Order: sequence, then structure tokens, then C-alpha cells
Amino acid sequence: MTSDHSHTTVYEGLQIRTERAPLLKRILAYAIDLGIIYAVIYVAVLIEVLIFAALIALSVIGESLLQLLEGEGDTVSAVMIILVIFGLLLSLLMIATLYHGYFIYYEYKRGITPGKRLFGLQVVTTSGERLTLGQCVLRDLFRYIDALLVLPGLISILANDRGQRLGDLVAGTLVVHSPSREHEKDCLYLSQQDLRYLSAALPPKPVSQEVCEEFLAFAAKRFITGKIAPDLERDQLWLRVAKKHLPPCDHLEQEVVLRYFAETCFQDSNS
Amino acid sequence: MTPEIDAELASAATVQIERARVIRPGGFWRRLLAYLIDTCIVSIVSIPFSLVVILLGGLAEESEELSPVALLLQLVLLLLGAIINFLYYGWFYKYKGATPGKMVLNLRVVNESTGTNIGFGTTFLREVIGKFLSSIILLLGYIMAGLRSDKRGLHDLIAGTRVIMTK
Repeated sequence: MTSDHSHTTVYEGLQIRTERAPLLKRILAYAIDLGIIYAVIYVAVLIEVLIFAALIALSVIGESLLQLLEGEGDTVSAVMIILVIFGLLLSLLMIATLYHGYFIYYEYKRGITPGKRLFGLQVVTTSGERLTLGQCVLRDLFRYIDALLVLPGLISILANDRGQRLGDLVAGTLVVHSPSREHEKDCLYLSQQDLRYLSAALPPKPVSQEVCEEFLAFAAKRFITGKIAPDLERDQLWLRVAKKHLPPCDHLEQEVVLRYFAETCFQDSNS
Repeated sequence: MTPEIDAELASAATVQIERARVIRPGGFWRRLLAYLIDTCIVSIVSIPFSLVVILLGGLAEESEELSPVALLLQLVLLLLGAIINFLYYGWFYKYKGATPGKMVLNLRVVNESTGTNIGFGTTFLREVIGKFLSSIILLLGYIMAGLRSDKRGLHDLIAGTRVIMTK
């Protein structure tokens, strides 16, 4: 996108530059959110069905006992029908609550649902702020209209130069994308923030494929699987290798240098 | 971030590093939940494909019961599902280190010996061959993941992978 459409949002105390959210990422994020909601609904409905099956079984046993004692059993079916209808209504209510609750909760909290987090997306108001509860509810209820047969939401996103669907237009919100947040979870040995600091202060020299692989094998055993206990001699050996590829960094702790070098190799090998 | 950050700032970052990073293996229930989420996501992705195949099947079937065309379409459907499943796992493991379900629960799959993301080959070993073997021995391959201290299931051992926590 052109810079006209870029925004800045505050994220964990950092000013982050964002741009209009790509449509594909929004669709994928929504599919992932749906997947999570389905999974939760699946577990919830499973538990509910088990409870109601137990209740129905109990009522059947109770009724047959009554029948034995009094010799009349007209109410059997009535109790069961009430239980079944109540169970169905309850599960519908649960599904609706989970679906809407999920989106409203996450969008109100920070504008980031788990699916959006994976793709570095965030819902903000048109002035770049956090959503009010009213905006979240409005935006959420408009999902029904946006998902009607000819997909008015999709048309709206494509036609609007800020990529707003109808719910966004009505609530005065938009979805923004931040590349740096999308790659937030790509780091293994350091947090992304630390890596950014370190690589700005100590830019690494290119590392050969061989050294990279060998060092990563050490780092995996040292930091991930714990097969190599922290051991001074071995650390020193690899520290010398690491320092060959880094600017002078004696002021840093040894473990930090090792982790930083491991992260550089890791990013290289995964890109 | 500007490149003129001085070394002092860089060393300030070290305080965080020490507190934050002890890498533990991912536990059994957390991984089960991640698997459930992934299954739901894959089913959402494959529903449109399945619909197309089913519609085609309906058109081709006409009156006969179990025509060869319908059988073939069933086979195609199964195969398509398996391929979508494999591509989903493979792509996310290779480029993101974890599938969405795992990412949501702060899990990540790494190669046991190199610590790097796994590729499509290893994914095939882990998800297709490994999980098949884990399943046919009465799910013992999965259950052993909960019992071992390094939390590796049979499919992890076969593919040489490990599931770790990222937080």
C-alpha cells in the first residue's frame, strides 16, 4: 500500500507501523478463529450431551420406578421431551455465546483475536485507537449481514480503499497489518524485541552454512533439549566461534552472545 | 528501530532474556487441544473442496447404486483430504515452525538434533507414517508422549522431532 494508508498503533509500549490488511490474511485469520471456536464448541457440546444423556437416563429410571410403585406412567415422554428441547436450546445458546463472545472479548481486549495474531492483524478504530465495547458488538453483529449470500462484506472490502467490511464501516473500525508482529513468534532463542536490539547494535557477519548447522546442533542440545548441561569449557569453545562472526561484544553475558548467535543462524537456516 | 542503538541498550535487553527463556517440552493435554483446533481448521478449509466433489458425484451418479464413478469420487475425496492435511501441516511447520493450533497454545515443532524448523520430508515422516503407527498400536504412540519426561510420542521419535513451549 501507499504510505497514505499506513498507520501507527501502540503495541506493548512500542510504536508500530501498520498498513492495510491483505484480504487473504484476513480470510485465513477468520478460518483459524472459526477452527478454534469449533474446537471449543465441540468440547462444550460433548460435555452437554453427556450431562443430558445422564439426566434422561435418570428420568427414565425414576419414571419406571414410579410406574412400578403406582402403576401409571403417562409423564415419561413429557419429561424426556422437555429435557431434549431444553438441551437443544441450551446448545444453540452456547454456540451463539461462544461465537460472539470470542470475537467481542478479543476485539475489545486489544483488537487481536488468536487468528489475527498469527498474521499480525489488529482491529483498530479509524483514528487508530482501541475499540469501545459498543463498537465491538456492532462490528460483531454485522457479521451476519457481511456473510449473506452474495457476500456484501467481501465486496465492501474490495471496494473500500481502507479494506473495511460493512461492519467496519458502521462501527468506524478497520483492520491493520503489521509485518513485524506477524513474525513475532519466529524467534526461538531470543524474544523478537531483544533480537531487534541486538542485531541493530551488533550486526553479524555472514555465517557459512557449515558453521551455522554445527552451531545450531550445539545450541539445540544446550538450550532446547538440555542434553548438554551448561558447561564452561564447551561454552567457551563455541563462544570463540560466535565472536568471530560478531562485532566486539565482551560487555554482554556469554549466554546472551550464544543465544544471539544461535538466533542469527536459526533465522538464516529458516529463511 | 534505528541502527544507531548503542551497546548499552543492547545489554539492557539481556535482563529480559535471562528471565524469559527456559525451553520446556510441550505437555500432552496442551498438544491434544492444539490437535483438535488444527483438525477443525483443516475441516473448514476442506469443506468447499468436499462440496465440489460431492456435487460432481451427485451429477454423475444418476440412478445406479454405487457406480464406479461415485466410488472413484469417494477415493478422490479421501485423497484430497489427506493432501490438504499434509500441505497444511507441512507449510506451517516449514515456514512458521508450528501449525495455527500449536501457535495459539505456544507450541513449536523443532528438529531434535538441529533445532531448526522441519521440512516437508520430516513432516511426511511425522504426520503420515509416524501418526499412522502411533494410532494403530491402540494410540499408545500418543499416550507415551504424556508419560515420557521429554514428552516425545512415537511419531516424534520416528521423525526425530520434539515439541517445545515457546513461552
